[in-house]
Amino acid sequence: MSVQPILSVTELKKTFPDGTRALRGVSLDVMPGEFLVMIGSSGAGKSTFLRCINHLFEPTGGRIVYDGTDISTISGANLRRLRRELGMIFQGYNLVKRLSTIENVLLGRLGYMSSISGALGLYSKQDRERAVELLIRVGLGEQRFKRADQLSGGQQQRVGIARAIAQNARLVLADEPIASLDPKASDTVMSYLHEVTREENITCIVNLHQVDYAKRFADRIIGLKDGEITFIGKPEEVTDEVIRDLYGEKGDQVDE
Amino acid sequence: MSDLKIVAQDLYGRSPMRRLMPLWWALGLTALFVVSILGMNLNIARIIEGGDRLVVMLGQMFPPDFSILGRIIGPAIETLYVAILGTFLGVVFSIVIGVLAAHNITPHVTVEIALKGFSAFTRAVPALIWALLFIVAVGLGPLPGILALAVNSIGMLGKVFAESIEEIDKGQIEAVAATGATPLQIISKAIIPSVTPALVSWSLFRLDINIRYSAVLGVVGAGGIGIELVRSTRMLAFDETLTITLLIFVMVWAVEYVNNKIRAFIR
Amino acid sequence: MSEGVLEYTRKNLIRRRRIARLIIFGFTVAVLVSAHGTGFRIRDLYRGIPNIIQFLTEDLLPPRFSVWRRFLGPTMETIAMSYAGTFLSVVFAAPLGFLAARNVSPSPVVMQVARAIAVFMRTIPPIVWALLLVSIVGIGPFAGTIALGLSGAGMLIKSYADSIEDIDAGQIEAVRATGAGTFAVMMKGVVPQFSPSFVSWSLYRFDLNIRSAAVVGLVGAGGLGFSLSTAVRLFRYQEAAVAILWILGLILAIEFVTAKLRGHLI
Ligand SMILES: Nc1ncnc2c1ncn2[C@@H]1O[C@H](COP(=O)(O)OP(=O)(O)OP(=O)(O)O)[C@@H](O)[C@H]1O
Ligand SMILES: [Mg+2]
Repeated sequence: MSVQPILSVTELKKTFPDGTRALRGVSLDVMPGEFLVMIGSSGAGKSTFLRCINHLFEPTGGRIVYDGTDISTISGANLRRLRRELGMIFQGYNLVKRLSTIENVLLGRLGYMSSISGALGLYSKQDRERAVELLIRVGLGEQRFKRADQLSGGQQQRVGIARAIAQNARLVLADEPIASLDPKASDTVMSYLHEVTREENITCIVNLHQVDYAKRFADRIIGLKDGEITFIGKPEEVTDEVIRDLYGEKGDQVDE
Repeated sequence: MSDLKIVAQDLYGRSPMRRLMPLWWALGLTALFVVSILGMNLNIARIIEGGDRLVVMLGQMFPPDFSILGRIIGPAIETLYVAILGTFLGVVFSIVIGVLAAHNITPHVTVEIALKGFSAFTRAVPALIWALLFIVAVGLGPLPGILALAVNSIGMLGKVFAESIEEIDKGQIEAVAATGATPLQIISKAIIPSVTPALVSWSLFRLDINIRYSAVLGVVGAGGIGIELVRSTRMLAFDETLTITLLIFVMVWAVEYVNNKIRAFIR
Repeated sequence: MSEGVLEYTRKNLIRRRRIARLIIFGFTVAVLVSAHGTGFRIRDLYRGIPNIIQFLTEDLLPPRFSVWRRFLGPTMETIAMSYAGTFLSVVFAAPLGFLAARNVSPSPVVMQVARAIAVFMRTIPPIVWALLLVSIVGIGPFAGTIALGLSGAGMLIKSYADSIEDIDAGQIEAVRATGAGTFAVMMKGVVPQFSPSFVSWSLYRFDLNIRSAAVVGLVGAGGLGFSLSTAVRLFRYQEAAVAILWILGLILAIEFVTAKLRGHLI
């Protein structure tokens, strides 16, 4: 098959100014449409990996190729154009709390608007209709005029998903999207994330702590330990031994 | 039960010396008070006379002379204008200063330090002293008062605006940046919505303060209702003094009332 | 609740937007009317600022440091006024604070009266009190002291009462449960919890009084303010500059000392 990877990372390194070596050379190819889950204990470097891809952190070594273009040192307007194609979902949701739910989804359109019209919030009719449609799809159509801080955690994260999709993202980076949610809300959020990205054929990299969710949703699972990939494989290949290796001896207590 | 235990400890757990600590403090502080008063070179006769004068003054105050309302309403309104303009200019400049001095978005640390130092200085010199200086610099009329209030406001608002920007949740800014937004869009869609409540409520609070200052600017000759107040006491027309004082009271109170309503709305 | 979440929140959003617009409109009008009423023009700013800079650099500077000793006495006077004024406020406000606190006040009427007294005393600016008091007891720091005492008491009554209202009711009940009388409940249930905020507010008031004391002198109530206004009236600006530096130094020094004290006492 001659399908190109949508994201190709080679020997990616990140050393923080304080000397912490969070990534020690990570190489990974991500295929279009894949639903990839990255697991690993706290401090393994999962967040750092995602943040290097959209340059919320600057990588200190290695190469990142996105859709055939080298983006290792991208910046300025090119970086903004890249970022609008990369949706990001955060553990803390990071909605702008004092804006309405629907406007939070519309923030996903900023990268496609002129600086001024975006700053003034002059979203087009199409964009607004699409935002409503997305909110309905994540089950929040009725909530769209609520202020974001009035939503429950699970609801806020669904808005986060809608915001990423509104960007027409081709790759979604989700950093522990369900770490602050109860099991029921976690189920809902993961199901929506999986379903919507499958329907829109969006590639997805999700950081997770919960191995059971990883096994349930992932096409492939990546195990990260101390800034290095120690496991790549199908969900059914994740044995107790693999988990023990990733999380230390207490393999069952995956939550720190 | 545990509350009772705490109380019991309070009673029996301390040495007698420590238990009497508040008493020593009270004695010491009272002694200091007496020393302060005695050190003032009091004109005792004049103060004792004050009792009689107070009676006379109160007698003259009532009934207050409301016939002067027509004459003092102009200066009263000017006082309000000066407070509003002083606050407005103060807020505008403070926003600029706050943005440039906030540690997380300042263009450079030297800018941050310079602006924070400037704010500290304009804050430490009281508003009326600024007014006193500005009268000499730009002449009489409302202008020196407006400038004095603006400068003194910058000292306070520049600092608190910078602090509220520094307190913004970093995640919200990151999330908007991660959509590919431009810096202008990030300011408009992540920073402004987050700081608006703090900005508005501090500005209103400053208006509360400024109306109080504005009412007394006349004391240093900077116009408004304060001039009328000084004039009436100099002329010993205390029935007018009371009317003017009541008017100041109503103005200050009304501004505070409206502000509290707006503050309750914005959260 | 026949209308759904959507309708309700939509109306709410629209209503909030409308009120926000109204407030913005109101303030815009207020600013424009004020500018019109005072004859203020933007060009006053860029004409005024050079004048101010010229005044600051040519008339005020350099300060005539040789006269610094002359302000020692007034500085002490300012400190004495502030301290004595604070003392009076505290003594006056402490009992009234208890009366004005909802949870310990003997009756709602007493509470309202105490609160009204507080509003009256603090709404009238200290310098107005000073002006009246100068007429009564004559020019000098005593008038200033009483003025600071009165306006400070107004603020402290409110602050004390608010702090007392915030204290934990459980501890009061615990003391009451022992069968203690009203006074004992105050001393053992309320006072221990209230004392940190009492100290903190009182120190803060002392801090504010230093600033006010420097200013009430402008109407003849003694201290550095009086020296400053005299210097300005006599056109001795370089001496005035020294007075301002004294005031600045004093304010910063007291701010430093009260911050240290607060850390030490609480
Ligand atoms: N801004 C930063 N400055 C310095 N060190 C950092 C920074 N961010 C992360 N680190 C360090 O990098 C390492 C990897 O952190 P990272 O957040 O990527 O881990 P993680 O796998 O996402 O952990 P978790 O599951 O707890 O989120 C850690 O040792 C962390 O302390
Ligand atoms: Mg992480």
